[in-house]
Amino acid sequence: MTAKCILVIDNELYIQEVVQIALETIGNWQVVTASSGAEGIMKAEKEQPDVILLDVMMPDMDGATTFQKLQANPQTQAIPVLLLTAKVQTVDQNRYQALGVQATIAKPFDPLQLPNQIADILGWQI
Amino acid sequence: MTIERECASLFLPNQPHWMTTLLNTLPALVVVVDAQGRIVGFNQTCERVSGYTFAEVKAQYLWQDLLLPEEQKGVQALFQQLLMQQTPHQAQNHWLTKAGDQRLITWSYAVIQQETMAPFVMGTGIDITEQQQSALVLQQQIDHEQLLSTIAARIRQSLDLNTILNTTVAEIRQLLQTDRVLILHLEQNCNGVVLVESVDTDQWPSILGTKVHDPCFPRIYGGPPAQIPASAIDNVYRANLTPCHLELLIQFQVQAYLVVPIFQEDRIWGLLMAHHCCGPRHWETLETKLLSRLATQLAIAIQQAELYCQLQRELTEREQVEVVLQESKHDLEQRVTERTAALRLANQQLRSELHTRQLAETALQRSQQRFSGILEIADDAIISVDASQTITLFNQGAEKMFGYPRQEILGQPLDLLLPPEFLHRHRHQMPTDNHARFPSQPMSERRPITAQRRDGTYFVAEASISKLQLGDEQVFTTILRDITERVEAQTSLAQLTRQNELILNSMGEGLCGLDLDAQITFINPAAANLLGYAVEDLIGQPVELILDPKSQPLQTDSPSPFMDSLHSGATHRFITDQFRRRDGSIFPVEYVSTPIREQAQIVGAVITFKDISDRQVVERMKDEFISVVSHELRTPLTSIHGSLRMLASGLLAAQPEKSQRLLKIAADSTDRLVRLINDILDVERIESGQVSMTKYPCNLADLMAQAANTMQGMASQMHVTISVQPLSTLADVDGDRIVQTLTNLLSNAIKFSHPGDTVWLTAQTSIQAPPSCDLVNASISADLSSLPREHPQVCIRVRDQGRGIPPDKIDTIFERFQQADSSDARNHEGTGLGLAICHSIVQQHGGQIWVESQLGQGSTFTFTLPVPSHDAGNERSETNS
Repeated sequence: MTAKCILVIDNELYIQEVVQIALETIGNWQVVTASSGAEGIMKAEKEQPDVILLDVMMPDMDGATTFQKLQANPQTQAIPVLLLTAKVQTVDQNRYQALGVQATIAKPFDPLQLPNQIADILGWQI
Repeated sequence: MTIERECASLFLPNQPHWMTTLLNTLPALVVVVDAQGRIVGFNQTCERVSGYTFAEVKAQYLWQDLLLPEEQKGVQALFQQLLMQQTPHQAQNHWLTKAGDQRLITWSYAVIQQETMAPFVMGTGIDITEQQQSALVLQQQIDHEQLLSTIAARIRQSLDLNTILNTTVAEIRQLLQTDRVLILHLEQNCNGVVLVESVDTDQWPSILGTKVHDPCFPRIYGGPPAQIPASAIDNVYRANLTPCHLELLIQFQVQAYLVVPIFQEDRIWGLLMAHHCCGPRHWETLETKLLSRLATQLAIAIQQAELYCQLQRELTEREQVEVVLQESKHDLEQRVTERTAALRLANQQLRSELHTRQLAETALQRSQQRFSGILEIADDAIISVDASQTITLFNQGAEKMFGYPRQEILGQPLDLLLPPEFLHRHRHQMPTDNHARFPSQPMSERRPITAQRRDGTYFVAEASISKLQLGDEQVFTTILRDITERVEAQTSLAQLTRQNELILNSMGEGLCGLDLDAQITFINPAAANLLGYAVEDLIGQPVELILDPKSQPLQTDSPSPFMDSLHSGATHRFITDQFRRRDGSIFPVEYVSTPIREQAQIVGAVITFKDISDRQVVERMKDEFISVVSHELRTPLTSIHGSLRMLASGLLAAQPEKSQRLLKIAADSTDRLVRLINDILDVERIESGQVSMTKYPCNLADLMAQAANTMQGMASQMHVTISVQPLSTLADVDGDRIVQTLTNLLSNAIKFSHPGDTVWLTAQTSIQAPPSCDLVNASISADLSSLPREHPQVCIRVRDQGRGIPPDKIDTIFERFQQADSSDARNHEGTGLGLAICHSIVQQHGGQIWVESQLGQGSTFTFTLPVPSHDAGNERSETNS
């Protein structure tokens, strides 16, 4: 089975690093990172990852806009997107659901459980 | 009697003659027969009774002609018995005479035995025919008498005529052994009707109730009773009856009849009739007599019954009369009772009127007493004067009000009680002689007057004046009430009303009064203003006018809060609802709907409301801020938590470089979290005023130098030069907080500078407005406008050569977590709160802060601080780097 490729889009560099280490170490997955929405879309087109972990609160282009652009882009619209966000109040959750995202993973997350969480959501075998 | 006759009656052979003569002379019948029954002796008595001569019956069998056929066998048997037993025997039988009559004879038989000769039987008989008939007649008479006595007894015992008549005809029919017995009642014209009848209906027709019209009847029965006989017809066909009579009888199948009349007084009442239908019949005289006697008894019964009926009628009439009398009596009693009751009522009314009059007199007396008492103890002053204005009555109230004892004032002129300057007006008010043609005048309307007490003080009183004409005497009475307190109270009330009006008019909150029909009765200017109406436009309008139709209850049976307040008296408080302005726009309100009660009765409701648009904006901002803070706190926490979980798992034991990296991430994030929390607390405390600025005179130059020194290390590390031009001037400031502001600004400037760049820290005294409102926080701009233009200030600037701030961020740069680029905070270890803290500190000092920037060329942050005027211009500038 080919190793999964995960694109992590988060302007928080430390969080990028922690996610990357966790997914590579535990899931043995290949991790690609991006620090902004624009960079994320570009890398999604190029790398065609198996899943995108997308932060919501980012400067310039926030997660919601990024998601909508990914969905509008024929090259990226088929890629599942999971939100990785610290904004987990009810009003926020409702907004994400309205957008049509597949699932949300709340910050702070448990890096040891993160690969399993992703696999469970997407039906992957680890 | 001849020999031949004697011989002819020879009885026995060898019989002596004398015996023959003896036998012939006997009055009894003597007959001798031989053993075969042939007559051998037949004396003259036998010849006389039977009508046969001895010669005619000699040697004839006894039973050949003399005996009735039905008795022949019995007599033969008797002979045989006699011959055998030869004992005498007695018996009765009939002889049938030569003429055909029957004779009853009682016999004594004896057997005569003469030696060798055959025996003979000798019968000696006596003719008892007349004797027996007499007995029969006697028996019949007895039967008749019994029937008569039975019927007579029944008539005496019973008044029921119908029963008597029916029983009588039945018994007569039985006694006479006839086919029909009836009573025909004859009317005046001799037409009859069958009243009662006894008939064997199995054999003969009943004619009960039949009306009989016989043209012969008037002739037969129309005469006086003495000429009307009983009539016995043995055979109707041979009686030579009139055809009409015969026809009637044939119709009833009558062959023989017996009729006797029944009389009442001197006229015929009816007929008692016995009909024999089975054949002709001979009616015995006795039977006719019996019927006649029965008719007499029936006449008695009929008379008795008619008398009884008449008596009954009279009795009934009498009873009816008694009933009428009873009713009349009752009616009379009723009228007497009513009349008595009316009299009693009239009496009671008279007593009642008398009592009422007595009560009225008593009440009048009491009223007079009470009036005197009231007059005496009334709080009002009651003063009477005569035509010459001399005081004649002065009650206790007047004594209290004016301070004069009664004895002193009586007889004095009225003018004594009035201030001199009001005398003229008073006289004008008093009824004058112009009104003399009116004998009396009632109390005039109350009007205020000014009166004078004994001590010379004035007071305001309400007076009403009346005039009473008693013959030639005129009495003017004035009732005075001291209204000083009322006037004061009215004044107070007017003031209070005015005050309330002012309060309501100046209230910031809208206030609206409703009546029970939910129509607006009062609305204050604030409410009208909020709703976009003039006050007068809303008065009398339904409250629905100002409600948002969409926010009304969906269910019609659920009353609106206002209606509920009006009806149930409940108080309703709504913190979010919507009202509608005149232009149709909707605005959010908080309101309270409270019922207005007067003596526990709901008379309306009052609505107090306020526009909460601003508050909602603030709440929305607060929610957003909490969301942002939550995010800002969770971000470093995520890094810390994630790093530590990975390290703790031991998965990275073989990768020390990654472990080291994670440790650094955790440590840096922890620092960031600490700074963030400190800044959050700081900004909150400063903004909320929890941290008071400890202001004291500070030399601004010292503060600038202190800040520059603090940041020098960082600047050196970043290869940035700090150039300071301190201004030596005193300012009343919290020195530590101003240093904090300066270090924040310097820190930002250094962070965003390129290596080799310079950061300038300068100050100057001036009156300077922000260059553009766009660049300044709105609240600061407002503060600025309130300052006197001549007020001296110092301007402190921090200028850098960094990348500058995008124009769209200029407006929000001083808000919390609003960096020019959010990633800056992460990359430059900021918390996003530094400028917000600066803003708060400057604001607390009464200064302003703003920024001017050009993208790619650098930014200049400027803040002002007020300085005492004597320090203005007394500045000294120097440059340190």
